[in-house]
Amino acid sequence: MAAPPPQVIGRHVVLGEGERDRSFLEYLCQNRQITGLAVGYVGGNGGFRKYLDAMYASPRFSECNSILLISDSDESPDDSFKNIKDQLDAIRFPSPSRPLEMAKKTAYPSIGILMLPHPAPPNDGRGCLETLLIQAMVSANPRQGACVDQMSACVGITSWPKKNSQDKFKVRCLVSAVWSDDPMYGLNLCFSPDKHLVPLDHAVFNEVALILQHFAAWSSSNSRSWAEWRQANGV
Amino acid sequence: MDEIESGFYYKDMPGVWTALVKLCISEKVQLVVSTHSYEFLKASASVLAEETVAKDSQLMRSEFDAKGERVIKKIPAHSFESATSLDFEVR
Repeated sequence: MAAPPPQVIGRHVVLGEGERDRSFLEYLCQNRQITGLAVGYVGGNGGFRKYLDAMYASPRFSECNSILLISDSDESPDDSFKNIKDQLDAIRFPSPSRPLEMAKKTAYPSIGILMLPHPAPPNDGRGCLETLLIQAMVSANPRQGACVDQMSACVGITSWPKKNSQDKFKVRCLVSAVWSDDPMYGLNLCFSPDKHLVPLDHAVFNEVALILQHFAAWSSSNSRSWAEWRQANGV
Repeated sequence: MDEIESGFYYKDMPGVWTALVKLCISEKVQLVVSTHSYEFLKASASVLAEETVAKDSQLMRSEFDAKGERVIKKIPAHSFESATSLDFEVR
């Protein structure tokens, strides 16, 4: 049985779905010199309710000012967002009406939700963390990227019904193609800068990094949405 | 009842709790217990979160509020159970 996700609490908390999300977010913060965030994960996109409910019971709950929940859009950004919103409503936590909006309620931390990929590609919001990773990984490993494209075409992944599966296939193949020492290397271990697998300074991560960098300030402000805060502060 | 877990083997605690809850319901008795034992809290949480008793059960914890004044925080049974099932500290 998998170990439960560790208890994370702080003034500003960021929670991803799984361990690889946590690893990505921690290394991204390190790469962009973003400090002041406690990063954790909830054990899957159905785990937000239980994790937040458990946080409420912590003696340190009142220390927490804001929480950013980060989840994959998967095959339907609207359905995936609603899945998280329903979990928040079930435990009467503040519940934003749309992604990147801050929900506030007395005696609770402010809550925001970021759906990945962000920014969503035009006309197609589907995808996951891997959707962002592909661009950065291919830029660092173009030769292997071309091979993975050929293999994807050979396997015919465009006929696979789930975009998530297509993107995860490409990332898995890229990791295996680049990391000859252990082709089964886990994705959560691939973000370390010494592996040179995922260049976290790539522009594809800029928008996510910007939100993380300013999350504490945004959540403490009166700006309801991230776009509103950004405009007001010239970011 | 203070330190109610004293003398019980830890594996018996869920059974002890189940029996106590049954007794409280049948005798219409309110039970208030105090403890520092995480094992005891974990055993009680799963029993108290059951649908039939959850609404009548809660964890109460003495803590300081933002002004430094001592308050009693009331934690619903479902939240108590979520925390102990993830091995989160609640004391």
